[in-house]
Amino acid sequence: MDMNEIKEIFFQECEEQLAELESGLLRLNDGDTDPETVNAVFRAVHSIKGGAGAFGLDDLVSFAHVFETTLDCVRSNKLEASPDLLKVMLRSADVLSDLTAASRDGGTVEASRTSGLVAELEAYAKGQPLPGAAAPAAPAAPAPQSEAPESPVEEAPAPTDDSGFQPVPFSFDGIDDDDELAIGGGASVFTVRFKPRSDLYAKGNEAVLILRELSKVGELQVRCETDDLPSLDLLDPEGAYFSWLIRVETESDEEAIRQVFEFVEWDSAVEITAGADEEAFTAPDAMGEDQPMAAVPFDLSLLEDAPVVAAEAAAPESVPATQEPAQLAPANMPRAAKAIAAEAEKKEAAVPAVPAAPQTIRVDLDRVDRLINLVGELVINQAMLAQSVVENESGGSSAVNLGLEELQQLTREIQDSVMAIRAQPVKPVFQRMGRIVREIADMTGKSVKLVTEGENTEVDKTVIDKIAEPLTHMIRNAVDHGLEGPEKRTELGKNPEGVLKLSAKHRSGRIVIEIADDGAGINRERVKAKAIENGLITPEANLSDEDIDNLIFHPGFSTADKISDISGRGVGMDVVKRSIQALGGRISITSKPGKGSVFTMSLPLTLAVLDGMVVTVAEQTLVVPLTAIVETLQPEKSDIHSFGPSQRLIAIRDTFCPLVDVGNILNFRADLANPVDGVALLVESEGGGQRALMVDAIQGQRQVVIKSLEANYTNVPGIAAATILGDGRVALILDVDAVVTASRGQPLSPDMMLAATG
Amino acid sequence: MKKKVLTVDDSRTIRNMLLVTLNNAGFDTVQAEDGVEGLEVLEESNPDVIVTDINMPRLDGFGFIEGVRQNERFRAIPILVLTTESDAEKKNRAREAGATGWIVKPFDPSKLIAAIERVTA
Amino acid sequence: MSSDGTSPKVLKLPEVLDLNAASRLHEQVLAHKGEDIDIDASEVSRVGAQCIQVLLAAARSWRAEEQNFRVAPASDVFVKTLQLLGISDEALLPKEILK
Repeated sequence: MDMNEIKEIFFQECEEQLAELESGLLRLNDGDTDPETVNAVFRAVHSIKGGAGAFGLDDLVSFAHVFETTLDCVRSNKLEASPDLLKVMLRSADVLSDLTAASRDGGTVEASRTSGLVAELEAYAKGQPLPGAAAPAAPAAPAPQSEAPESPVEEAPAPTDDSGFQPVPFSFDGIDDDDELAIGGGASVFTVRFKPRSDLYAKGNEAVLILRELSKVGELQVRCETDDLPSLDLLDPEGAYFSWLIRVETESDEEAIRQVFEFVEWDSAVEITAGADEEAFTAPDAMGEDQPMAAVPFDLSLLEDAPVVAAEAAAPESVPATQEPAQLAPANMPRAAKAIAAEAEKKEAAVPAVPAAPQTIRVDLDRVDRLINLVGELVINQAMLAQSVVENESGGSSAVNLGLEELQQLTREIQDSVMAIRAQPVKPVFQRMGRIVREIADMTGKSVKLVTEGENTEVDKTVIDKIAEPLTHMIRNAVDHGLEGPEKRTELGKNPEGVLKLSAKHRSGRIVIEIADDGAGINRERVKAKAIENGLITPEANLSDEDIDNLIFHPGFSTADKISDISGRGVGMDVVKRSIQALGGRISITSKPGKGSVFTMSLPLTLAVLDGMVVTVAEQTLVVPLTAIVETLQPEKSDIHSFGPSQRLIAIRDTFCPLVDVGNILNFRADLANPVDGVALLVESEGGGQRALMVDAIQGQRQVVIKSLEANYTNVPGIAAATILGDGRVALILDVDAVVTASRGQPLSPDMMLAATG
Repeated sequence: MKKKVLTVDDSRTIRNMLLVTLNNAGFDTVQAEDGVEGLEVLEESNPDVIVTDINMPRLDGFGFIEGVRQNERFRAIPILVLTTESDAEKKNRAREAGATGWIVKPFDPSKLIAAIERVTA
Repeated sequence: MSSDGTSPKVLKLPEVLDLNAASRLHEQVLAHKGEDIDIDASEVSRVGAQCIQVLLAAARSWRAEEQNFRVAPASDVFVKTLQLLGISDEALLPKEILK
């Protein structure tokens, strides 16, 4: 793994943290008071800051730092998460997201956006929200002591505090020399008194190691004071009785010595004075009975790594670092480094035993796609093989048949597994929509609450990637045109805050995404008037409410029109519709005046495979998606009831269901077939209604690999896609909903398709 | 013998950096994502030194350190705290919980290694 | 009770004498109180100040009771640690080191 890979991981992690951040803030906004929610939000920002610091992404670090400080106030209950504060935080989350993107992809974020928010966040952290920003909801909230954390009074001198957050760019090559040991001019002498308390040992520190560390700073003379040592019976084996008087002769300064005691200052008494306490080292009498001798400089070569340096205390410490540039081990642990170098090869296999993270690997999407394509070919091949076995009618060999069955089963499992690799929840896309809503709400002065549902619904990545854009347009449209302004809503007796509900669910083997607003609903009078004006319909046309609502998807409708020109972005619903159709999806609208509108889009779960029923219609082979079929029926003469010139109903148990002649609808034949000669497929369409589709015969069920017609030919009304069957023939896949819609009276022509399908 | 380091951090980025830094410096590295997992991994890995983050889900660094110090078998293991907090409060709490020392994030690899060397025999 | 004429008991020290080993070492040493003892420190690869405290207190206690308390043999690490700590009690260090 190298730097770039880790950086890549960092940005991936940022995405996750940003999502976590946003959803946490939204939960807080909804009144969630679980401290863990605040913690999670804090951790998200904290984690981004930590990683960003390591990569020297200063802009990101400094913004995250301010954000984190304010969050910390909320976390420690110094600041209340008021709605106004949360608004600022949500916008901060957006900026943090932009800063992350800018760090990853290059580019910048407008300084004014950051600086404004920084000021607001800091003001909150100080307990003085800026004028203009709303006053804090709870005046009772105590002013946070942001920069002065209360810490217990220390008896020891104040520790050297590394205050201030200094990003240190992270790099693996060229590990710095030990810059703590600046070479001063000539050696000087210090006297150190060091008396550990038992806590020092209890916390995993060790006087031996402290002295070893000190020996790296200079030449030592050590005297151990043992007078406090009690008799063996009275001794607490985990007590601290020894103390030390140490003469240090060093080229470094006092700070270098103090650094040695950095970790133990609180758990010991440390006194460093310049100059020698000559008396202590020359008067043996003062040293206690057990210490007849003056301490000497040591050869510590067995105490691990300290020795080399200690023995040659006068040698400049900074020399060794760059001697072996190829070796990444830092200079101040030469022993370990050498040991590794020596054992490098044979230890290669000794991977750390407990990789604790969930076992995942990252794979290029291209590879997965290639695999999926290959499996698609495998499916086709398997089907062709099965077919030719049947045709050769060696039939009797049960071994071959059994083998084929197993092969089919396996192929199927491989395919499912492979598709699962690419399946992802819609959550990230939904989360992005939160931001879109906030932006457009700000722009239009509306107050909007986004509610999401079913974010964990999974769908193939190829689909995920493509729904964000149409979804964005629909969301904008819903906020801009669907929801009323707060005053208007108050007037109407509605909550001034509009609600936008975004939900996803699986249904009939497709994913259905709904965008529901509680706004005004479609103004049908205006839509109709506009349509007449644009010549889309004649004034006499008698259109149902549904037909009128669906007019907004008509391409001729939106041009430069105030109603459908979405927020000045010039994207009409017709464009949205087309991009959804290109995915094999459909979109429809239902609207109730005064209550709001619901846009429903349904998309295939994958753009790769389909379970289908292969049927014959007017000598053509078609595939009907199995997921749409409720049951199949053999119509009896007595079940069929005709009315009007071409309308027929079929009685199914106690209910009547419109009978749709697929061959007729698709213009495979001009006249209507006799239902008794065919088979009826009871289907459920996206709108929820049932229809009986009449086909001539059923050939069988099969999984087919979808080959896009749009990509290879062009969009054909009533046809969703094509596939290759086992015998090598091309078959068309029926677009059930389109056919059902067409059966409601409109002919299936491309023009009207756009206006009428749902 | 290679020294074994247990790192406990919820950030994948930091975990990877620690892993690369420590492996390059010739340490065996075992990793955990939070305090709870840290205590589990501790049991099976018996490290020479522990490097832990503070802010983590489930069980934070303070709780983790206390857990280690209360464990008869592992209480003597030196624990270094990784912290971006420069404020003394965090450091104090970590020390009170039983931390041996600390490393300020973002860590400089040489400082990390030096700190580990300092607290291990 | 002195055990003149018999060879002294030998207490073999473990490899690691850290915080966790101090209490056990204390108990072990106490258990030998009243008899001559040789401490075998040849296997010691790591020793902390607290175990040295125990050993030094023991050495003094033995000396007060005029029993023999002697560390031998000792590993280099053991010797060097004592030197680093500035401990030069002759009971803990082999004679030749003290010269």
